[in-house]
Order: sequence, then structure tokens, then C-alpha cells
Amino acid sequence: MLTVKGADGYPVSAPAAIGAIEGESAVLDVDETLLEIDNRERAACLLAHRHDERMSDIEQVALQGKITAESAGVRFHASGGRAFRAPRSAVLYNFLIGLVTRLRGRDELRRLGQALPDLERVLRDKSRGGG
Amino acid sequence: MSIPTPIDSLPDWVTAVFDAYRTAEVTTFTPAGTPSTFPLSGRWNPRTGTFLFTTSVGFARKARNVRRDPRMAILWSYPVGSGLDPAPVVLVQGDGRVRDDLAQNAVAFAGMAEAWAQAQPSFRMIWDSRRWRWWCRYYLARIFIEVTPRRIRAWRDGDTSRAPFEARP
Repeated sequence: MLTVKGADGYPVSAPAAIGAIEGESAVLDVDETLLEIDNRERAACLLAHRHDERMSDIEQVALQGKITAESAGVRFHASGGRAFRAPRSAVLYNFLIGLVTRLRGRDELRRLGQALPDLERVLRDKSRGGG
Repeated sequence: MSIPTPIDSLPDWVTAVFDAYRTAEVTTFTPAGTPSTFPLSGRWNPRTGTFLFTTSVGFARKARNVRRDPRMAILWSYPVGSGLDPAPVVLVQGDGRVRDDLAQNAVAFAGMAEAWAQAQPSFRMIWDSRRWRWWCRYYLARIFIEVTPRRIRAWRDGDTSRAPFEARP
């Protein structure tokens, strides 16, 4: 799917299919009317992701860049991005989630000026309250 | 052009998407003004007419984006696991509000985690084990992003080249 900034200032997203790839750009098959495509070069984000029915086999690639309108369609030029593929092992996946969020989360807690919530106490209170 | 439907009277085939799709593609703006999109699981609250997404304090960049610029888009276009056929596409544009009282969020999250565990076995492993909850305690510290819709467009058969159903406040 492709997202650009719409005329009203809000992001607008539409399903997109990737066509011919040339270097770090690709022609996309998208609904140009919905995305209000015109001749202007615009910042854009292209996301591809998947998961199965049980929310495993998770994979995502998000590319940031710009779009230009061409006679062949909309061309996306990538300038950066991120990719993630979950390990098949749930144990390894959860281990990594715990590790990464611990490393990154401490800075965010400092920014927020808060401590980690006491989830075990919340669960005990919930259990006592029958919730 | 048809008159948009009020958001508080959405048809069942639209609200079914909010309930059945496992993930939505959520977009915020980076500090440079570039759209940044990521898949997230969320909940639709028909009573308030808002959408609630949660993210870990370890993945808080999207919440920081919303604090700076609340304009957001949410696209439901990936029907795997929903059981819906035909699979509609729904686009919501709206304003996000970050709720970052972590202690208050923990109470609310404890009430919604069971449904998450039912949908995602790997999260069940975390939620049902005290050891895993401890290891993933930063993952379980959640920031909420509540989105108030300004415009909803939906395509019942997923074909966005057709005229959409549209709702506004």
C-alpha cells in the first residue's frame, strides 16, 4: 500500500501493486484518483506486510521516499526504510521483543518521566475484583 | 455526488471490517513531514466512535509523531484471518490523541489482553507466563493512540476505483 499527504493535509492510503523495478525506484499500480496524484513530487511511504491467520509468519517492509507521476504510472523512489521478519520460533520472537523493547523503552520512560507500571499488581487486583 | 452518511450510523459491512481484520495499516507523519506507515492491531469502540491502537514504550516513535502532528490515516486492506468474503477496503482519516499514563493504560490493557492472546498464540505465551511477562515488561508497558475519525471511505468489494461509501461527522 502507498501513502501520501492528501490535499487536506491528512495522509491518504491506497492498495498498491509493484510493477517494474529499476534501481531504487519502481512503477506502482495504484488508484491515482484516490491518492490525488498530480504532477507534483510528493513524499510517500510504501508498505508491504503479511501475517497468517494466527498472526505468525509476520513480515513487513516499509520504504520512505517520494513519488512522481509518469506516463507509465506512479513511480516511487525509495530513499530509506525498515524491514522486519519475525522468527518462526515463538520463543525466539518473544525473546527478541522483550530485549528490543527493554533497550528502547528505557529512554522513552525517561522522556515520559514515568516508571514501568506494576502489571502483576494490576493482574492481582483484577483477579480479586473478578474482572 | 451522494450525501455522506454520519459516522455514528455506519453499515454492518464496514464495522465488520474493524472487528474482523487482524491488522490495519496506520500512518503518521515524521518530523520531516513524510508519511510513515506500520501495521497495527486496533479496536473500534462503537460507543465513542473512536479507534484505539496500542504500542509498546519500546516502539514509541509513532506516538511521538502523533503528539507533534495528530493527522493520521488508517487503511484496512489486508483481510487474512478475517473470514470476510468479499473483503472490503476501508480508509479512515482522523486525529490521533496519545494517552500515555502508563499505570492507567496497564489497567485497560489487562482487560483487552485476553482477546489479543486468543488471536495471537505467540502473545498467549507471554500473557500466560509470569516469567515471560517479566521478560517482556517493557513490551507490555503500552502507550495508547486514540483516533477520532474525520472521514471514512469504504469499498465493499475492495475495488477502490469505484465510488466509495462515505461517512463524515
